[in-house]
Amino acid sequence: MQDRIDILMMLAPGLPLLGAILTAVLGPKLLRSQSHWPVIVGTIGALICSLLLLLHVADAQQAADLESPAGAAPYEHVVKLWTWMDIQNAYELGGTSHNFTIDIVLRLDALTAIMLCMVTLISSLVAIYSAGYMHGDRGYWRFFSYIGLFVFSMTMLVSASNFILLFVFWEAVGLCSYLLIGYWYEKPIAAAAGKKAFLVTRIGDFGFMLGLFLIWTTYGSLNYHDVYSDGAFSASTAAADATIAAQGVLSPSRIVENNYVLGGTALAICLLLMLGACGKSAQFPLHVWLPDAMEGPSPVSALIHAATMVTAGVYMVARCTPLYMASPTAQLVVAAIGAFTALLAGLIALTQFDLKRILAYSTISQLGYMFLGLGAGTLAGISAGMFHLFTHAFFKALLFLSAGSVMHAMGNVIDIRRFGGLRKLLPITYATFLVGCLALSGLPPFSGFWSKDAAIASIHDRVHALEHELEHRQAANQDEAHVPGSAAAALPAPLAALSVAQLSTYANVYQWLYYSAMFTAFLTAFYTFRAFLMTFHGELRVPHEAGDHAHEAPPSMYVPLVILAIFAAFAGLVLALSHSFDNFLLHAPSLALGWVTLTELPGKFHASVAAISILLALAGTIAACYLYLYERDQVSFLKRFFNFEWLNQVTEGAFVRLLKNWGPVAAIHNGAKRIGLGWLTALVGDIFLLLVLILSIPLLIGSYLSPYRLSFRKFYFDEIYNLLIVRPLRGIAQLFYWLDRNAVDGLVNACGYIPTRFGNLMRSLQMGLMPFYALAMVLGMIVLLAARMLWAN
Amino acid sequence: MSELTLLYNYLLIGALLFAIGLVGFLVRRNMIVMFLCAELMLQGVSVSLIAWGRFHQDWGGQMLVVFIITVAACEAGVALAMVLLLTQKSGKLDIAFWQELRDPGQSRFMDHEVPEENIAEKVWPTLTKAGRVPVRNPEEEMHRNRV
Amino acid sequence: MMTSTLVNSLVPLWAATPGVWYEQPLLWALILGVLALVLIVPRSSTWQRVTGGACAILAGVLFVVTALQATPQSATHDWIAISVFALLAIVTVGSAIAMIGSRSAVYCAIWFAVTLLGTAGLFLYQGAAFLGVATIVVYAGAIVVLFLFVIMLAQPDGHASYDRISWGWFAKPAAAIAGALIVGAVVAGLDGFAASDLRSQVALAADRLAAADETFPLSGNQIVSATRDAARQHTITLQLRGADVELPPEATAALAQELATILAAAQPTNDADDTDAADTTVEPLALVYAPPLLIHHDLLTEHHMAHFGGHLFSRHLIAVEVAGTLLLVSLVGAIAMLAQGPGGSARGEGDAHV
Repeated sequence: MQDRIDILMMLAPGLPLLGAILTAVLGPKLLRSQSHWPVIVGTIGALICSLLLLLHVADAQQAADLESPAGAAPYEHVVKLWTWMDIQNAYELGGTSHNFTIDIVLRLDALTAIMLCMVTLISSLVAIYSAGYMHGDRGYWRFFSYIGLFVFSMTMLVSASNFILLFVFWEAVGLCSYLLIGYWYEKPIAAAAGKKAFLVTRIGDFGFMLGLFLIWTTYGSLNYHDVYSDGAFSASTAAADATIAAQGVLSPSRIVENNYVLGGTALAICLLLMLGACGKSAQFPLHVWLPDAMEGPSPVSALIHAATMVTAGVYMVARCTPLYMASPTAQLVVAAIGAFTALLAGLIALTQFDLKRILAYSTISQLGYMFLGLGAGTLAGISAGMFHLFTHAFFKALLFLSAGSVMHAMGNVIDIRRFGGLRKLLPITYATFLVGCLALSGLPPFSGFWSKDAAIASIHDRVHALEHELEHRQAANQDEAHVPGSAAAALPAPLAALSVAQLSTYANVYQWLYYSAMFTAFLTAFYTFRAFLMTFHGELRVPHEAGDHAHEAPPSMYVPLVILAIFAAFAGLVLALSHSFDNFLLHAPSLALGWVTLTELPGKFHASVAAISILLALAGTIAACYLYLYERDQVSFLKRFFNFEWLNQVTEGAFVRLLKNWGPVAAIHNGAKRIGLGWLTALVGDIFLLLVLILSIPLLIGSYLSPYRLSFRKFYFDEIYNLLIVRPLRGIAQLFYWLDRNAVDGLVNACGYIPTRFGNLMRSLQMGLMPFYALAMVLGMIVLLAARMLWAN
Repeated sequence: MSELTLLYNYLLIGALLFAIGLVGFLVRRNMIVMFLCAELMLQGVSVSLIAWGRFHQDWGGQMLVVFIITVAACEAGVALAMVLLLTQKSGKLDIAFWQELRDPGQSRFMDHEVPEENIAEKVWPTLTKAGRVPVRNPEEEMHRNRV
Repeated sequence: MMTSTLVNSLVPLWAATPGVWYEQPLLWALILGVLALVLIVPRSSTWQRVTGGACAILAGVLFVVTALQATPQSATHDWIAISVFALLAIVTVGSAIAMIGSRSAVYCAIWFAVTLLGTAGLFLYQGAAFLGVATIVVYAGAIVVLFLFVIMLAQPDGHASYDRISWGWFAKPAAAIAGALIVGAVVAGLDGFAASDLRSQVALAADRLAAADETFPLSGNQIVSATRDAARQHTITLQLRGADVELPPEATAALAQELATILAAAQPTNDADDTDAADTTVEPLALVYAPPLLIHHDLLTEHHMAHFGGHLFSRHLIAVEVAGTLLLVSLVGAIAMLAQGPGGSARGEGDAHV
């Protein structure tokens, strides 16, 4: 039984890798247009393995629950393939020396099983879709070998059981992302987007690396799991007398003891890890690469940049929950970043015209929701974040694939201004896109509603929990931190250690995050339906690139769409109402033990929160329908209004002239003229004009910062980064280039120049004159003679 | 003179002859003159050999000189033949004409200041007039353009 | 400091004048010789040639001074022999200088012939009668004539620009300095030779005795060799030229006495170790006589030609055969080369003149 599980765990990443290698080797010459088969078969095989693993985990968890009825029993299973590196006594910590041993270990627990299933399911569907979408592309085999490599890397990432392995495959998915964004590398913009994605995520990865270093120096281990003295990994297989040789960072034994450092170190670890997650999951301030990454093929956008890779950060933070539980501040930061990013991306998405970019910003926004949930720091929040990750994968993959279908029909045109009314032309895509939009907008009963609402509700609960604690402390007149386990509701120790002032601040911040998340829900519904309506409703408009043959996609493309649409529509409903997702997930060791169990459990449905968010989403939807369903004039009015064009009107000289001819003013002016004071009124008019002109300067500047413009130019993030980071770096690079060219190369060239000159000098001796050679010979002979005579004795 | 003095003096003379021959060989450009200088060096060696033979009461010195003369004769035969060949190819006896051995890219050696020929050197010896004036043969004079 | 050490070690004079380097006449002779050669080898201006000639004469005088200094003290001077030698030497070296200095190849050849005559005289002076004659006959008579013919064939104009210049600014000084260094090296190589040569010491002792006493029966030139006995360091074996070689005992004693004086005088300058010097002073020298020189080993016998031929065709027979073969081969080679003809145009790239 156990062996079968081990083999399945190896097959889940192994099959896609095999497919990738087969495609890469056989693709260019042998398979050609059939290059998709190895990868599709590989990913479907991986999907089957993952489902079997999921069932196994479910069974095992049920069995464990039966044994220990009190609470969710953790389940984990670790397989070691081989030892990668092993340095004995690498680090001394607290009197014991730690071995730096990095094994290639795969793990299986609830978190991994869910991620595996999600990844392989989406991958399989996207691979099938790609077979239709990429048909006829020059690098067909290349695309599929990249996809296979990506699925392998992603499955390894979620299966890895130590941080080094996690980091390796973290980078590997980054590499695949780079390769696939720049897949059409002949397009300079695609190549640049790939580079940008790679470099921006590199910043996050640097922080991630630092975080890993800090974990190593703090805990002396990088494994998630314990290593027992008999070499086994799992307590279930360990003999009774086996002792723990190296306690893992996220192992049940450590979590149950809450053996984590607190304070600044915990905060630093969490924030550094969060930086890595920001890079990978495109959170503020490293969110700028994701919209550009849409230059890649649509399936890539769906698979990597919506469903799987960008959620790696969320997965990692969820995995590290025990670490985050040790630092409430870090959780607050996570939540704040999530909420802020969600709001920011939602605002930007309002004014974009590139369908895929709108979806990219919505991805960033939804990822923000996930981080918001994780940042709530409660079981409810974390499971909500993971749940949102799960449902979002379906509906966002669905949206991207549908957008790809639109692009496919429209001849690669993606600007929503250039087409419209496509619902007749692309009925299936229309239906699936609509499902995706409803899910994304958070309208019940579609899956997005359940997960997003859970995330918002968890924040709401968090606020209540903090306020409750505050009231309790005020009632007890305890200004200082009190001992956990007293009469108050049990709080995790790090949270309980906070002072009243800190608690009230946290409560305030979480309150604002809650409002912001609510507002974002409105924005989400608005921009989603804006894009949807502009694309599928209104007059039928088809760009000329599409030709006359704009048509629905082939079955290989719409079948995955339909499957995804079913999941997007019902997965949330089924899983949320049955609580099976939460129950399953909470058996993961990171979530089943320790401080986190003291927090709010999921499953509580807040009717008030749900009602507000539904109302807001409905409002957004209705507003979008009102404005865009029949292309009303109010759209341009709103645009002008938010672009502060009325300011420009005020500041124009023509306005003053208009004022001059305006009835009352003209009458006064004429009256003054009549009594010989015309110059006075003219002077007043001129001064007024001057004032207007002077005032118009800041107003003109202000118009650049008008809401519309800010949103349309993405809050100038690219420009600011360009100015603050890229330009100075380029300047430094130019400086070093100059130094290298002139100083270093100059030195080296000088070293080469001297022998050359010397050689030329000696070369000039070879003048070909016979007497010269004779003379040289004689002189040499004399030198020898002189040496003989001088040093003979 | 004592034997030792004789040896010293002859060795000095031999060294001087050798050195002068060497200088001539290195400095002159006429191939035949260079050749003569080589012969002069051989003479210097011969003088030294004779002196050493005398000093040591050994015939070996004189024997070597005999062979030196022999080899010089061979050398003269072969080398003059080669000089003639080279002269036929280049039209002159100048050793500096032949610079094929120089490194690729090296510019050819050129003389930059050839001294003017002295008019006094062009005065050829004449015979004193005696007897009657010979009958001039214009055809013969055409061929005898040089004295 | 370094330079003076170098020069002192390079230019030590062979006998008389120990001293600083700039007091050595040979050095100045060499410097002047370099100057002379540089000035004399072909150039257009007459005054340069005159100056060069003057330098050459001065250098010659200095060489003579050097030679006189080198001559062991109190030797008998046969002034006639010396002047004959000097005449021959001046003719030889002077014509050699004239040869490399003449602008016309023909004059060169003629001056070379004169040099050969001088050399032949020097050979005769040394008693190498056959070689002297052979030089005149073979060299001056045949080879130089061959040269003249070739010059007339190859250079019918009789004069050419390349005969009036050298080939580079440094050629003349470098060559002249090289020549001077060779002369200096030869002279320096002779340093200490006299002091270490036992035969010369014995000859010097005999000459001194002969100069003091007319009746002394031995002259320095009669001593063919003197060797120190390997086993008994104070026994010296003399080999004399002539039939009756046994000296009277008193003459032998006088010779031994004189020799001991000379050796003792030479001892401090010698860098031999002290024990050796002590030994020489303690034990008196003993002179013994080897059997006289065989007649056919004597270079100065009246049957010179017969013994010359005997040596040549007995001991050096194979060498003679090889030399004959060499002559034949060179003959064939020369004919083959010339019979082949010029074979194409000149491969040179043109005139060396601008």
